[in-house]
Amino acid sequence: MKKNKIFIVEDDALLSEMYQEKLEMAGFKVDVAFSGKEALDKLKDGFEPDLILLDILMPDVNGFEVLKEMKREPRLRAVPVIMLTNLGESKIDMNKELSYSLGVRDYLIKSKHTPDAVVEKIRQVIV
Amino acid sequence: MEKIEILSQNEINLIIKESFEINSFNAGVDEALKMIVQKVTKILGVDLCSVILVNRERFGSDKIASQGLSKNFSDFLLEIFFKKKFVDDHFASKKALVVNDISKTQKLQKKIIKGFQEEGIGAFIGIPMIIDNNIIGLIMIYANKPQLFFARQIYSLSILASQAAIAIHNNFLYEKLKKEKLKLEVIQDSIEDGIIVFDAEGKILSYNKAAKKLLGFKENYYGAKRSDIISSPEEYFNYGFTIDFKIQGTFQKVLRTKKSKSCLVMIKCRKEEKFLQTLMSPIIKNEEVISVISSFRDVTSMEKQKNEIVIQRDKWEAIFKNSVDGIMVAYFDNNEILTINPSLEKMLGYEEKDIIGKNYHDILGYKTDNRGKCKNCPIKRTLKKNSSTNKHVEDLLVRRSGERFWAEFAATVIKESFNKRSMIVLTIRDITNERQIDQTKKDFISIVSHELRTPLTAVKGFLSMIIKGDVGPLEPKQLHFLNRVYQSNERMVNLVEDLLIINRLDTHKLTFKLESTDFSQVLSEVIDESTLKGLSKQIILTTNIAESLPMFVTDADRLRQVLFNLIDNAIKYSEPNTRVIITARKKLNHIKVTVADSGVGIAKDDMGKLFNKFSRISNSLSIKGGGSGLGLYITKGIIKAQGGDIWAESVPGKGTKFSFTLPINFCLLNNNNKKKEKL
Repeated sequence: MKKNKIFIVEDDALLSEMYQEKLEMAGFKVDVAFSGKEALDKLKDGFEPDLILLDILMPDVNGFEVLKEMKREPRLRAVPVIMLTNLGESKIDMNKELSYSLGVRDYLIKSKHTPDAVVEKIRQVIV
Repeated sequence: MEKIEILSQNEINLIIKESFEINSFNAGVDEALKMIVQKVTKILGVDLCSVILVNRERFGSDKIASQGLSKNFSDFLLEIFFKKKFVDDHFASKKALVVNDISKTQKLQKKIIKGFQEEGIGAFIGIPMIIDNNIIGLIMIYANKPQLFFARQIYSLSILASQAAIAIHNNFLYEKLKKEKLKLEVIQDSIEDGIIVFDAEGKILSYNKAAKKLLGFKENYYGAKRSDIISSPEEYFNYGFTIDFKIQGTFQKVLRTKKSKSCLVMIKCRKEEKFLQTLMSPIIKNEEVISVISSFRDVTSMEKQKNEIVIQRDKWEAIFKNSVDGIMVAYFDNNEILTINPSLEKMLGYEEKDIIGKNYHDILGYKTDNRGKCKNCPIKRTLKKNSSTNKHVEDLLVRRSGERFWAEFAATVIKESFNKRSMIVLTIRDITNERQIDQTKKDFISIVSHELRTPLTAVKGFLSMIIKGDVGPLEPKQLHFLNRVYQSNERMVNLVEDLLIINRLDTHKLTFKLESTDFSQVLSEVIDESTLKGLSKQIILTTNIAESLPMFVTDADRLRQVLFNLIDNAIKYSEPNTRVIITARKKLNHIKVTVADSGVGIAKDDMGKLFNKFSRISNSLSIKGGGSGLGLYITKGIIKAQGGDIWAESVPGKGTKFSFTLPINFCLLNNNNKKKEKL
C-alpha cells in the first residue's frame, strides 16, 4: 500500500521532529520544511504531498502567504491543508474565514492537541 | 409814706447767706421758683409772695410759684402778665412797683385792682428780675391791709431779685444742658461701637455702654489715663485683660497729624481674644487737638473668618503650587484660562503668562469652531452628565512642542455665586509612562505566554507518545511518574491559556463569537465532560432547567468555559457522595444560572477576594485541588464583558452557590426567530 505523503511546514525543530516521528510511526511518509520559503520552493519544485500541516507564524513567509501562493498553482490547489498554530484565539478568529476560503480543512491549536489527536485529524481528512 | 431804714449787719449776713443758697441751687427752674418764694417770705418776714416768670420767649411758658395765695389769684396774675402790657406799663423803668393801698391807687387799671381786692390784698410790692437788661419775671410780696413798705424791705427784695434772676437763669441753662446731655447719652449708648473720649493728655473723659462692655471696664474710669490702661491694664481692666501697643502709636499720630487714624488691635479679655477695629478722630479747637474720640468695633468674628479664609487660601495655594498633577482653572462660559500650576507649565511646556486668557481647548489640542466652542471635547462632555464629575477621562493631549501625550484628567465646575462667573477646574496627569509600563507588561505577558506554548506543546506531545507506548513498553512505575509529569505539564499549559485570556480581557481584546445558542445543549456538553470527574469522587451532577428557556445569543465556547469552571470548582470542593445542582431560569430580562454544591463552603473572610486575580482560598480541599486562582477571575470577566453579573453565596461546611446572569437583550425568543425567518 502506498504511503500517504505528509508535508510538515514548521519552523520549530522540536515540534517538527515530534510530528515527523509520530506521523512516520502512524505509517505516513513525511517531508519537512522549516520555513514558508523552503516549503514554497519544495512545492514549486514539483513536490506534491497528500496533506500539508502548515504552521502560521514563521520568520520569512507566513502560513497564509504560503496558502495564497499554493492556490495560484492549479496543481497544488486541491491539496488539503491543516493549519497548526499556537496563535491567540482572537487572531485565529480574524483569519479563520480567510484560511477556510483558501481551502483549509481544519484548524488545530498545538498546545491543545496531542500528536495522537493530530494523526486522528489527518486521517479524518485524507481517508 | 415811705420810710427808709438801713439794713442791720445781721440782715445783710442773712441776705448774703440765703442769696448764696439761691445761687448754688441746681434742681431746675420749677424747683428754683419754689425755693425763691420760701427764701423771700423767710427773709422779709411776709406771708404772701409769688414769683412769676414772664419771659415766654426764653422759658417756653409762663411759670408761677406762690405762697398764701389762691389758685384763682395765681391764674389771674398769669393772665395779666401774659398780656405783657402790665409789665410794659409798670416796669418800663425796671424799678420796683410799690402800691401801699390798692383801693386808693391811681397806678393800676380797675380790673386789676378788682382782681387784687377779690383775693383780699390791700398792698403789694413787685420787683422785676432782670437778666441781660431784660425782665424775665417778677417777685411780688403782698399785705392784706394797706400799709407802708419799709425801704429795707424793698432794698432786700431788690438784692434777692437780682440773685433770683441769676439762679433762674442758671437753672434754666442747667435744665437745657441736662436735656442735651441726656440726648447725647442716649445716642452714645445706643451706638453699638464702643466710644471713648480722651483729652489731649490721654485721660478718659467719657465712654459709652458699648465701650464698657467691649473693653470690660469694671469701675468708673473717668480720669484714667490712656497710658495707664495700656501699661498697667490690671489696674483698670478685669484680670487677664491686655491690649496691644498699636493703640498708643495711633493716638500719638492723631495728635501729631490732627487727622483721623484707624488701626486693628487685639485684646485679650478673660483669655478670650478679641479683635477691635479702632478709629481715632481728633476734636480740634483753635487749631489744637483738645480731645480724641475713639470708636472700637468688635470685628472678632469677621477677623476670625478672614483668618480662616487666609488659612484656607494658603492651604489650597500650597496644594495648587506643589501638586504633582497639572491643575488649570478657566472660565466655564468662554473657556478662557485663568491660571495653571507649575506642574502643568512643565507638562505642557508653556509658561502661565503665555496662556492666560487663551481658550484651553486650543492649548490642549482640541479643535474649536470660530466661536471658540469645541464640539467633541471630552471635558465638557463628562460635565454635561454631572456638573461636578469625578469620572476620569483618558485622552491624547498636545504639548507646546506639538508632541502628543496620553493624559488622564478630571473636571469640576465651581458654580457661579455672588455674581462671580462659573469656573472649571481641570486636573491633568501625564500618564505616558504608566501607559508605556502597562503596555510593556501586557506585551510581556502576551509574548511570554506565546513563547511558552511551543516548548510546552513539545513536552506534551513527546510525553503523550511515550505514555502511549509509541517508543516501547514502560514499567508501571515509569508510567505512573510520566503521567505525573504529563499532568504537571497540563497545568502549565492551562495556566498559559488562562494568562492569555486574562491579557485579552484586560486589554479588551477578548472577542465574542455571538451566535444563537441553546443553553441546554451547551450544559449537557459540559456535564458529559465533567461527569467522569464527578463520578470519580461519587459526586452526582443534577440539572434543573426551565423548559421555557429561550435560545439566546451568546458565545457558546465562552459559556461552556464559564459553566465548566463553575462545575469543575463545585466538584473540586465537594465531599464525596454529594450532589452538584445546576439550575437555569429566565428572570425578567436575563437568564439566571446557579451552580450549587454541598461542599466545604467558603469562609466569610475569603468571600471578598473570591473573584480577584490569583486569589486562592484556603480550605482542606483547595490544597489538594490545585488551580491557578485565575478561573473565577476569567469567569467573571467573561460574564461582565457580556453585560451580566456573577456572585457567590456560601455557608462554611454546608456548601456554596455561584449564580450568574446574562442579559436577555441578547436573547432571541424562539417565536421572534420564526417571525424573522418568515420575513
